[in-house]
This record gives sequence, C-alpha cells and structure tokens, in this order.
Amino acid sequence: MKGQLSYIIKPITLVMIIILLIVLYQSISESTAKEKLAQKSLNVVSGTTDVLLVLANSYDCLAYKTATQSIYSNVLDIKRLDEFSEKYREIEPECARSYEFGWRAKIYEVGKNTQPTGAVWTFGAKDFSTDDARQDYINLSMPVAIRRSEKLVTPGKMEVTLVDGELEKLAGAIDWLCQLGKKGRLTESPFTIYTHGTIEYDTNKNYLCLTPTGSKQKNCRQMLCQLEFEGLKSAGEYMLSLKYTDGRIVIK
Amino acid sequence: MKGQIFEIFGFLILAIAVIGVILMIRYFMVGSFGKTYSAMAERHVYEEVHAGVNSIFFMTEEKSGRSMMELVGLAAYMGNDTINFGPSIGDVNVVKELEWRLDALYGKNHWHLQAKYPDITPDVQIVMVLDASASMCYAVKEISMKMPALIESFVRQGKRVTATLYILPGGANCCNGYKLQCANQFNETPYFHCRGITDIESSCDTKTAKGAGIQTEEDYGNGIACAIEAGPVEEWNPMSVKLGIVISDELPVGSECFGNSRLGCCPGQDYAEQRKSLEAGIKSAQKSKIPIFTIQQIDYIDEQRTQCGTCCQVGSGEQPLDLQCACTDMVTQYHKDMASATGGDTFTLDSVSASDLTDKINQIIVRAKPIRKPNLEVGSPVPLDKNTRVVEVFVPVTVSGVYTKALVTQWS
Repeated sequence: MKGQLSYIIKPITLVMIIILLIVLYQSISESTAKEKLAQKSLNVVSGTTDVLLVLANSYDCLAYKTATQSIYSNVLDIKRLDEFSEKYREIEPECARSYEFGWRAKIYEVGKNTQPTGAVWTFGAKDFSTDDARQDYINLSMPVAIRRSEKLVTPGKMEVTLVDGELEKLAGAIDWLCQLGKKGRLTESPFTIYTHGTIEYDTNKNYLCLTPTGSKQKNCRQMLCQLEFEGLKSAGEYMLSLKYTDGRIVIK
Repeated sequence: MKGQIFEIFGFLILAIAVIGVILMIRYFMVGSFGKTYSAMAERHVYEEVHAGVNSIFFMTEEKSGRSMMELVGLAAYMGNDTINFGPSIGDVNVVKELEWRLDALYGKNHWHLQAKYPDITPDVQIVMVLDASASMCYAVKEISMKMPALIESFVRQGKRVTATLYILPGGANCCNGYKLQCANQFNETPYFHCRGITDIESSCDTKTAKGAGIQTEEDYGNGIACAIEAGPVEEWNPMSVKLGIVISDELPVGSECFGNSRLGCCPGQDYAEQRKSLEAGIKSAQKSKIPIFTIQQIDYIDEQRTQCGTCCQVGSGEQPLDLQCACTDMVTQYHKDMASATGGDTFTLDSVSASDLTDKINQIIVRAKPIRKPNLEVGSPVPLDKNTRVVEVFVPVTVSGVYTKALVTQWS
C-alpha cells in the first residue's frame, strides 16, 4: 500500500514542481517586461526634462547670450523665439533633438492672473503617432523669463509635449542617420520596428506618415533628408536597412 | 508513510519558496520602479523650481525697467520693501512684484522667499528751501558760512550726505553785506550746492491755479514741492534717504493780509493762498515719501538784538516791523502741519548764536536714520509636514559690495 501511494504521489509532486517552475518563469518574464515598460516611462519623463533644460539653458537653443558671451540660464531671447517659431514649424530644432521621441514646445508669457498674455511661440514636431502606434506621452512645463529688451524681461512658461511612438522612433532613426551621414560618420544602420499601422512616404512634402490600423487619420512628420522608401503596407514587425547615399536615405 | 509525508512537506516547502521568490521579485521590482519614478519626477520638479528662481531674478519690473535681482539688491540696501524712484517713476513695491511673479510660476501658497537685509547706512540727500525775504538775511549768512563745512564733516565721518539749497526768488541786499541769492556767496563742493529756485521752476510741475508757479519770495510750499519734483543737483538716488528742509519765518506765500504789508497777521483771515501753497508742498512730499523738516527763524532778527524789531535800513526804506512777530503762532502751526503730514519734524531757532541754524540742520541729518526691516519675506509660511525644495541665490546688495542670500522654498 505504501509503495502504491508513493507511485501516485511522486508523479503528482513532479508535475506540481514543473507547474511551479513554469509559474516562476512566467512571473520573472512578466516582471522583466514590466521593467522594460517602466524604463520607457522613465525615459519619457527624463527625456522631457532634458529637452526643457536644453532649450532654456543652451545658447544654441533659446538662452540669451550677452555681447560678452555670458549666457543667462532660463532667460529666453525673444529673437531666438521668433527665429525658432519660423524655422522649426514642423520639426524639432537640432539643438534639442531627441531621436527616440518627438516633441513640440509652446512658450508663452504669463500675467498677474497666471493666465497666458501676449504672444505665444510654438515649434517642434507638428504631428505625432496616435492610437496603438503611440506608446506614451507626457506634457511638462518649466518657468522661464522672456527677454524682450534690456528693460523688459517678462515671466513666461515653456511647455513641452513629448510623444513616444512608432512614427517618432522610425523618423528619429532616419534623421539620426541623415545627420551622421552628412558628417560622414555613418552611412548604414539596421533598424527593427513593430508598427501598428501602415507607413508611407510623401516625396513631394518630404513627409513620413503613419496611419494606425483602423484609423483614417494620417500622422506625418517632416524629415531632414529625402528618402527612397516604398513604405510599409501593413502592421507588423519589420527589419529595415537604412543607407545614406548622396544626401538621401535609402530604406529597404 | 513517513517518507510520503516528508515528500509532501518537501513539495510544500518548495511551493512556498517559489511563491516567496515571485513575491519578492514583484515587491522589489515595483518598489525600485516606484522609487526611480519618483526620483525622476522629483528631478523634474527641482529643475522646475531652479528654473523659476533663475528666471524670476532676471525678470524686469515695468515702471523702473530694473531686474528683480537689482530690486531685491536695492531693497536690501535700503532695508525697505518699497523703493522710491523719484517723482516720475514713483514707488516700486518689491514684495508685490515678487509675489505676483512667483504666484504665476508656482501657484499661490506654494512658495516662500526670504532674503536678509544687511545692516547698511545709506546715503542722505537733502533739498532745502530758503525763504528769501529780507528777514532771512541772517539765515543766508549762516548757511553760507556753516553749511558746506557741516556737510563735509559728515562725509569725513563716512556718511555720504549731499545737500542742495534752493533760494526762493528775491535777491534783496542785506545789511550784513549778503544778498538773498546764491551767486558768489556759497562755496560749491561736490556735496553742497546752492541754486535759485527759478533755475528749476521749468522742470517741476507745481504751477498754481493762477499759473504763476512760485509766487513770492516766501512761497516755500510751492517751493519745496518744486524742489522735490526737480530733485537735488545730483538728482534723486533711489537708494538714498531723502529729506526736505524748509527755513522761513513767515507763512508760505507770505504773512501779509489784505495786501497790507504792515498789517501783520489778520485774526480769522482765511489765508487761502497760503494754505494752497502749504498743501502743494505736503502733497509732493507725501507722493515722494520725503519727510519735511521745518526750521522757524526767530522773527525779524537783528544780529545785535534778539527781540522783534527793526533790522536795519535796506535801500531807501525801512523793513516791516511787526509782521513776522504777529504771525509767529500761525507760522508755527503751518510748520507743524507740514512736518506732521510728511513724517518730518519742526524746529524753532532758540537763539541768534552763530551756530544755532546749522545745529538744527545737523540734528536733522543725525536723526535721518531710516527704519530698516530685518529681511525681505514674501509668500506663505513653509509647511513642516510637506516635502520642500530650497534654492539659494546670492543677490548683490547695491553699492555696498556685499551679497545677501535669498532662499526660495517651494512645495507641491
């Protein structure tokens, strides 16, 4: 009888141990996946803070610089604001470009009632990934001073909306290669992407556009280099080869 | 049987261990993510606070065009939250200017700013107006002889004092050899100047209803208003302690009534012009927050005699005898009205000793110590039960060459 019980219990124990180990494996895998997601979320927050800081503190961006080369942190030069609003209507300025995310900045003056007053300056990406093609987004702001003249420096706020999406990632990788290619530092780069929609390229406007599955809305971004790209006709995972040739990016 | 029980126990222990491992993984992963996320969020908030503090000190105030950094530096120098930039700009309240900007950036009740005011003695600037009627001949001589030296003595002690004397229109010859005017009688120094009030009349807006401006040699009401508006020769310094001094023995515009210079003060007389002149002076002083100190001359003094009476023969005629004496009480009252309305004080000459007038001026300057606040404090009290961020900024205190520390505390 003892021996028969042992025959039953041992296999059951074995099965249970296997099940437990599977649960353990799944749990570890799930935690790892969650950690990756959390990491992305952290990157979005820190990426936005970085963009705000670079915009407000770098002379290459908006920080005011005197004739003696002194740079005023968080004091934005109105001439640079006007210039950026004009020059970067649809794309992020190089001085604060993130090749992982897309962002748009809005700068406005605030009055005594904390409401926006006077002029508003905006620049950066005009459109972002939507629906399933958008993984994360955040809107953060930072106080700034807007220097209209020596005698007139007004309080303001700078808001940055940053989006982590498939369109931004692909466009970022292409623009990154374009920048490095122009400097002769890199000519080829592989890129893997999972898309939740179709991607097409508008040669005339130099727009890369993503249409999420089930949506009629097309989201487009202006590109730095002209592309040779037939697009991605359906959702799914793609391994792309990006190549810089004569000022153009060839994507296969 | 024992062996099977051990097997089951063994499995149970294994199961508990695996579950424990899973729970620990989840706990530590969630915990560390939570901590990292809050650290990231905190980093952003700190950068936001830092950016706000950085930018706020470079923002300018509309009326003066000065940056908040300069204004806090000026306030620290003055020991006062309100800075007077003279008649054209007026007052700038640093607390209010900081308040609305910080409210706009951080929201109401989410911040506190404190900056210690160092112990500094600021410059003193004085505008003086001297009645130029013949009964003031004694004063002209006194001021001419003593004032430049008096001012220099303060400068030598390290207290920067400057004075500009404005003499009302007149110019009569005095029997003591002086004239009731500036020319050739006063030693100009970098710290003491004498000017006829008519020199600045065009730059001050104290025209009376008649459009006559300063009307008489005794019109010290409109005179001090004009002197305040135009400022001293070196112009008003927003950081200085400003004083106005009036020296006269009559009512503003004059003590005469009914056009009879010999009638003296008329009981019950309205003296509308005199009152109007007095109020013009008070209004201007109040607007510029300048206290007026009045010095009432001994009436119609003879340098040899200490009582009211004939001074001396000037030109072809004898000067009025009893006019100033008869009006003494009313003049005193007018002087008190002017001084009390502007935060100043009244002085009456006690004797005809050579140093009496300058002694009184000396007393006024010595007493000119501004009321200093210990620090600049704006915003809500810092809560003890909240997570706060503190940013420290060193603000240069104007002129003094020292820095004061401004602490900005922010909380969510």
